[in-house]
Amino acid sequence: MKIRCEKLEAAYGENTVLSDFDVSFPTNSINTVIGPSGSGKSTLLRLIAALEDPRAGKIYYDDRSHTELHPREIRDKVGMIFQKPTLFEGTVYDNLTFGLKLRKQKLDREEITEVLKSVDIPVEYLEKTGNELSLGEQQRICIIRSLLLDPQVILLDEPVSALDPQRANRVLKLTRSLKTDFEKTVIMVSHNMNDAMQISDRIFFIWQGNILLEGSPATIKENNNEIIRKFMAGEYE
Amino acid sequence: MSDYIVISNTSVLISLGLMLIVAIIGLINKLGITGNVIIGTIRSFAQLTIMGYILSWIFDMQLWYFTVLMLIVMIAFATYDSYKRIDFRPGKTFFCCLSAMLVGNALPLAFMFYVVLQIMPWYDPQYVIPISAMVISNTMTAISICLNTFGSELRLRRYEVEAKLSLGAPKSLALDAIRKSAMKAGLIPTINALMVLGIVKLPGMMTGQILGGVAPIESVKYQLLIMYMISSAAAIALFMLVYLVEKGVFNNREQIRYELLK
Repeated sequence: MKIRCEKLEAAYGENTVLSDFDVSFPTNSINTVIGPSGSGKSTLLRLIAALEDPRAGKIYYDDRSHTELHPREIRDKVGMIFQKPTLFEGTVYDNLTFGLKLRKQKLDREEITEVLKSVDIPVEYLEKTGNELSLGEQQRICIIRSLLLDPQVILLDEPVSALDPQRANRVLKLTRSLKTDFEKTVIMVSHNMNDAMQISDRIFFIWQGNILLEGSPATIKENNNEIIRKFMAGEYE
Repeated sequence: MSDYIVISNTSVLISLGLMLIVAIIGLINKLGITGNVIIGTIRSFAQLTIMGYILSWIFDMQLWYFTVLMLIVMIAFATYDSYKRIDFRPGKTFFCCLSAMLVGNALPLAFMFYVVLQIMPWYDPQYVIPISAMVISNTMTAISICLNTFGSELRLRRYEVEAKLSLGAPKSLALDAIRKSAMKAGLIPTINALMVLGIVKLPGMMTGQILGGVAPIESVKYQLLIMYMISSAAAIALFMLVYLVEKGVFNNREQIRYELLK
């Protein structure tokens, strides 16, 4: 599914976060939106996930705009993973089947086991509760929980920012496989250029509520924009 | 056990000396509460004295509409007071509190007055007013604890709610965990009171009855009825309240209203 934002404007009270914002994310690709804190990255994901509505402008899901769709229709097509893992009460199995039960879909334990194996999560974890897992494992379960509902687009809001490098790598590997193995369109928000370079097909650098530069990782790396250079040098948070 | 010591006005005035101790301790330690101690002492004295006269008058009159009016005033004040102490107001909150207060208290009170105690006449103010007051004041506290917890849990677990929405959950299911926490928080003081009843705590009503000359075992029965009413009133009111307020949490696009998260 192709996501296109047209002249988006988003604000919290008096504070404008995005203004006159245009962007287009190609289908079946890994897109990373990168930029300093407060630049509007997370807001963009929340708008696409229909968790908030823009003050002005439109978001197109293929050729239908957000105003023509009920948020639940959008959420059926777009999965959202938050910065902090959001496992619910109950076991990992309860979590993985949460959305499936709502859709009255059944998935054999064996099928779930297969999915778990493919992402290096031991089957015994099905009976564990969220508190018994590491943050990295919790985050991977959240991604699989969303993946099992077969959305066309998966949004990830800084999914590895709370993880150590080893666990972060596992989550990034899974993120990469969302495109390669499951043919999803991925839009990830990050403030870590290395993560973005590692897995993205396309990087969008966002600055003060607008796209400053977009392109392949190589294009971003080779550019001479002073703001991006300063960002990469760690001068902005 | 039929007599009780009548407290003279002079005795009450002498007892005021105890409040002086509170004021002095506040002053010495610079707690900044002396003003409130004085105001609180004067207010409690005035309010209770006025209430004493009003109750005496209503008991003498024995008119149904005075009893009903008194109940309306109590419910209205209790709702207003709990509403004042709530910092989470998702919309039509006063109406939600009032409805929960009315239904939550009316059902157990009616059951107790007309099925268990079978009071005659049906509006007998000697029973209806003091018993209702105890139940209503407890429900009032439960309501404010419940709604404040609802708000703090929503702010704390916002992403859990949104994750559920993202997975396709309807609004009500998305708030399930928040609702449970809020109801539990509102009910815990009442349940805890049941646990320590008779061991750590001799409730005011029972103490009052014993001082008034009622046999302890008879006052125990009354107290048990009161506790059962208090518990069921709180449970019914909170159950109703959490479902009423949750409608105001979302906008018409099933998104959490941003202003509630501030």
